[in-house]
Amino acid sequence: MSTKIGRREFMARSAKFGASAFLGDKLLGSLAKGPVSAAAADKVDVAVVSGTDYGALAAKAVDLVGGMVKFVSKGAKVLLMPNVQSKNPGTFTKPEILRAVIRMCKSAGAKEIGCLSYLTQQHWDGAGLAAVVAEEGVGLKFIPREDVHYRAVPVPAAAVLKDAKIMNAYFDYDVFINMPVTKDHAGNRFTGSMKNLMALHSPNENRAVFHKPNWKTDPADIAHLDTCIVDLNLALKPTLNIVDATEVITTNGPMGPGDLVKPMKVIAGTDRVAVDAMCATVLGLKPEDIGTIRLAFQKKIGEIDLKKVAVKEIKL
Amino acid sequence: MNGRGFVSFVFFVMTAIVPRTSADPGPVPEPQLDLRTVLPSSADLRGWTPKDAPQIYRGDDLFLYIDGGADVYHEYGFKQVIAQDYRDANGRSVSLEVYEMADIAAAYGMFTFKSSGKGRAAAVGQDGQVEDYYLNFWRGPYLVTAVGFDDSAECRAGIERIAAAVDGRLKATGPRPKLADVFPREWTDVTRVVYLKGPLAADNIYAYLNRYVSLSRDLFHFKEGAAAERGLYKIFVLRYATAADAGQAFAKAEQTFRQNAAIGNDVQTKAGAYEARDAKGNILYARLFEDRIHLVVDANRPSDRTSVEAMLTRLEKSLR
Repeated sequence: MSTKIGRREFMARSAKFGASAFLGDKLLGSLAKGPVSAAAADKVDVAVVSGTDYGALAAKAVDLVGGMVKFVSKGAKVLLMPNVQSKNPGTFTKPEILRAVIRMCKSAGAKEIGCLSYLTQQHWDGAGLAAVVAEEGVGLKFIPREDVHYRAVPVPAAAVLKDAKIMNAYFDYDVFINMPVTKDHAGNRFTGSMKNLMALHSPNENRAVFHKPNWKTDPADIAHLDTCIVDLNLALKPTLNIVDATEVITTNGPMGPGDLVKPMKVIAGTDRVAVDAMCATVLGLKPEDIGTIRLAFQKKIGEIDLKKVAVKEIKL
Repeated sequence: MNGRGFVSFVFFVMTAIVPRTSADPGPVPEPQLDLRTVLPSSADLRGWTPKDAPQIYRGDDLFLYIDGGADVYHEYGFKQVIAQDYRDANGRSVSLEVYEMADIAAAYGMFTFKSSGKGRAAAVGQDGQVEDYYLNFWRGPYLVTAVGFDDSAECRAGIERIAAAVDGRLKATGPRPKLADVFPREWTDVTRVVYLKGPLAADNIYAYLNRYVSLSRDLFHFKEGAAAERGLYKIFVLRYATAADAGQAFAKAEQTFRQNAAIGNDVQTKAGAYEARDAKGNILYARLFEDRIHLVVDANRPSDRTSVEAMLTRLEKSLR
C-alpha cells in the first residue's frame, strides 16, 4: 500500500485525472465571483479547511476569507511565495496548492503572476513546483545573492533589523500572497507565515544579521533570530497567507526527513500572527511558546489569542 | 516555585560553547574523501539509476543546500555532503545524502539527532535505522540518509538497496562515543538516546527552554552530552572537561539564580543538587557528579521524586 506524500500524490493524481481536475471549472467560476458559502459572507479571520484534495482545500480556505477577488483586483501583478525548502516530504508547499492559487489569481483577473527565489532550480524541481509554474505560465525569477539585488527598507519600529534588505523585484508586484508550509524548525521550533518572509530577504543578510556574529545556537541567538523575523514582518505585509498544513514534519525541520504528520489542512487569513497561532495549534504547540508568534503579538502585528479572532473550520 | 527560573537553570547548564558554529564555523576541516567515489552507480543497483549530477556542499555552503537548517550540522561538526537522486523505471524517486562530519562523534551524534527512536534496525552501516520513508546510518565519520518520496514497498526497498550499496563503499568505522552508552542497560524502556555536542540539539530534546531564558551566553561549556527519552522522563548527562569545570558551572548557575529575585525563590538547593519546576509544570532534578551534571525532567503528574532519585543514583553508580 502506498501512502501519498506531497509531490508524488500530485503527480499520480495528475496522471490519473488530468492535471487540472482537482480544481474544477465550476468551483473556479464561483470563486471568481466571490464567496460561495453562507459562512463566507460572515467575517472570517482564519479559515481552516481539511480534506484530501489539496487544491480544493486551498480554494475553499480562500473562499472562506472572502474569495480571491477580495485580494486580487483585475489587472493586478501578483507575487506568490511558496516554501521550497527541500524535496523531502512535509517540507515544501504542495504543488497542488500552488496550482490552485495560481488559477484563483488568474480567475480573479490577475494580469501577471510571478514567483521569486534566491534558491536554485534544483530546489524548485525537487519540490515539484517548477513544473507547476511552467505549466501554468507563471514567471519564476531567480534572484542572485549579491546585495545589489536587494533594496534597503527602513524598519523604524524594529528591535534589531533597522534596515530590511528586500528583493528589488518584490516591488514590481501589487499583491503578495504568502504560501508557506508549516513545520518544525530545529532552531526556533516552528515555521509558518512569518518566517517564510525570509525568502524575500537578502540571504546574505539572513546569515549576517538574523544570525548574529559568532552565532552559537544558544538561547540568546535563537531569540535574536526570532526578533529579526518579527522585525522583517514589520517591513512586509502579505496581502494574504495560505498555509499548507496537509503533510508536515514535526522533527528534523526545516529540511527533514523527520516524523511526518498529516493534519490534512490548509489555513488561510490575512492576520499572520493568528494564522501562525492556528498552525502551531494544529501541530500540537502552544502559540505563546513560539517566539515569533509571541513577539509579533507584542509588536501588534496580529492576534495570538485564537478566541479573539473569527475562526471558521470546515471539512470538505 | 517560579517556573521561569527553573527552566533557566536547565538551559543555563545546557548552554554550551559549541566548538564550531554556523556563522563562525572556524576553519573548515579538509574533506578526507572524494564523496563521488561512494555514490552507487546503476550497475550497483537493480533498477535504480542516478538522476542528474550530484551536488556537493562544503563548510558554510551547507546553508545553500539547507536554507535555514544547517546550524545543527555545524553544531556537531560538518565537513561536506554529497546529494544524489535516483529514479526507477516507474518514476519513483529516492534521494541519497552522504555527509562527511568532522569526526566520528559528530557523525554518530547527528545520526542520533536525526533518528526518531521508533525505526527498525537495518543491516547497514553502524546502527542503521529504517523509519517510515527514510533510512539513516553512520559509519566512522560518515552519515548516510536515504529518503523515499513515497512509502511504497518499491521505494522502501530502493532506499535499503541504495543505502547498502553506499555502505559497501564506505570503509571507515569507529566506536561510538562512550557517553552514548551511559544509560543503564536495564532501562529497557528508553526509546531514544541522542548524543549532544551543543545547545541546539539539546533544545530539540527539551523544547522551549530558550523561550524563558535571557541569561548571558557562554557561561557553560559542556564538552559532550547524552539525552535519553524514557516515558515521560527526559534524562541528560552533560560532561565537562574537568570536575572543576562542572563544579564551576553548577556554582555559577546557583550564584546567578540567587542574584535574580524571580529565580531565587524558585530553586530548592542542597549541596550539589537542584530541584525546581519549569513553566510547563515539569519538575526538574539536577545533580552535580564528578565532571558531569545530571538532569532529569519529569513530566509525570505528580512527579515521582523517589523514582527520579533512584534514576540519578543509578546513573552515578553506572559511572563509578
